[in-house]
Amino acid sequence: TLICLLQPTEPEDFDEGNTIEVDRISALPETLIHHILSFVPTLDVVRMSLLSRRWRHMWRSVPLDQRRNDMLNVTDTSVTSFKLDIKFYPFNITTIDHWLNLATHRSKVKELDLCIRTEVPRKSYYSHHDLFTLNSFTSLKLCGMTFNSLHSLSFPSLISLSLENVRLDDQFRTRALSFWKSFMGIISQLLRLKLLQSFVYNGGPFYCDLNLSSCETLTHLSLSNLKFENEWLEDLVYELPLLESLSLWNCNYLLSDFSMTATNMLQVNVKLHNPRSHAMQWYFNLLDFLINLDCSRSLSLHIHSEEALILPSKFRRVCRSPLPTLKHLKVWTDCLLSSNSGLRDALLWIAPSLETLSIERPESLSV
Amino acid sequence: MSSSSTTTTTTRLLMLKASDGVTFEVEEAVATKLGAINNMVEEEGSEDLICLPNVNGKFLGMVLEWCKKHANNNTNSDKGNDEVNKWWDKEFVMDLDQNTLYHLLMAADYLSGTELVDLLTEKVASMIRGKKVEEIRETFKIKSDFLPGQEEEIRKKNSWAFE
Repeated sequence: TLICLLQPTEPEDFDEGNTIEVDRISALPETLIHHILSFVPTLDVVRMSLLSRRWRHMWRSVPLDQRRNDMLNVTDTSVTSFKLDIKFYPFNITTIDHWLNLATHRSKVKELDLCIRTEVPRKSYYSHHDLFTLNSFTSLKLCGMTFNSLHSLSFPSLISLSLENVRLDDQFRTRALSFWKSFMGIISQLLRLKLLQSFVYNGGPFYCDLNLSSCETLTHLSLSNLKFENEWLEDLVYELPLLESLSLWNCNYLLSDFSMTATNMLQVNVKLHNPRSHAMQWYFNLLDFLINLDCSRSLSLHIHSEEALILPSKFRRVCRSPLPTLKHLKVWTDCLLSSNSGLRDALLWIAPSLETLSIERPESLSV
Repeated sequence: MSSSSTTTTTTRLLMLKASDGVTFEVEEAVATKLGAINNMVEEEGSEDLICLPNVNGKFLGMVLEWCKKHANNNTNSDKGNDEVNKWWDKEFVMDLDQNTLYHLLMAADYLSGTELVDLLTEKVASMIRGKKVEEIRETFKIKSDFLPGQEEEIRKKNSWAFE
């Protein structure tokens, strides 16, 4: 009997006379190149990006668990920006620990961007060591991490802060409501930063009482998945005179009965909540809400269905346009658009002075 | 009769056939140093002829030479043998040219000879470590195919590595 291992490939020419000047190493499969590079000091690997185009990005693609952990000397010197984007599995905890150590200890990193992705929401990376022994950060972006405490925080130089799915230890959470109180309290403490210009926060769908009033220099604010009282946002915008950009994603139901004055506003982005029905009340609330956004030069609206923005003609006869001075409007939608739905007409009625109007949907839905 | 039958069952021979038709007859204990062969022997059980269409006879011969050395030395496992093995490995990879190194590495990888892959990749790494880019290009005959300005851009982007 005869058995074969895999399929034959093209017959190869093994004549050494012809192959003496041939670049063999670049022809190796990537897995073998990674294997080779796992025996080479990281600095040499990075330098190899100058060999040829094939090698240009090779050092980036070496899997973390195959990399040599010899970056300490590098971080000691001149690295000021550190970004780690990694999937979290229980088996790579030590690798993540190691990289965070490098980034945060005895380094000159000013911009730290940590994204630790997890597919199981309840199991996220637990930071064992104290990230925050450094206070030289100017930009801090954390995604998908659990801390046992965020105490003793001090970031006097922080200009940009982004927190996505950052949690305190579950042990605290079991103490019910007080958990969110303490978490928000800690973030608020973190935000008592005189230099902060940008704040991005994506929490769970939880009630928010963040105190941002001390961040007078804030120009960019983005909030996702938060519930809050209208007054809270009204006060906030009032207290942030320099605010240029405001994003609200999946926050409250439509902000009806809401008023906003922001003299420096350039850009507002809102993802509208999906109503159960587009009854009269929806359109009343929508008009009420949009009136407040006329203070911005440019507006992006994300909607679930075009129906949400097509105001019935009887409204248009009776009411005034809510955005009389708006210059630029962009509408995003998840749904398929029908060509003759009247969305365009409705938008031109909503904002009659538009210079640009764009209606976009995700690539995957494009025909 | 009964006394002789006990001795003949100990070593089984496998036939390995390379892409160019060259066949090797090797002891099972030697061939199963290669993960791929080991899997096949365990799964298929009774097969004696294994055809390896991705490996040329010359390199299969070298891989098997390595296996033989290491299979033999595994049977009597005292510390002195470790040293002998290391010395032997060093000799084995010492004067390999680029072409042989490449085909040997591909063969070892294809046959899942983990230890041999380690040995060969370490050999390649030793030719890279501490070398200047120009030297690496020269050693491996790598041609730079960057567009004008691209090289400078890379230097600039990761200036910390090139200081």
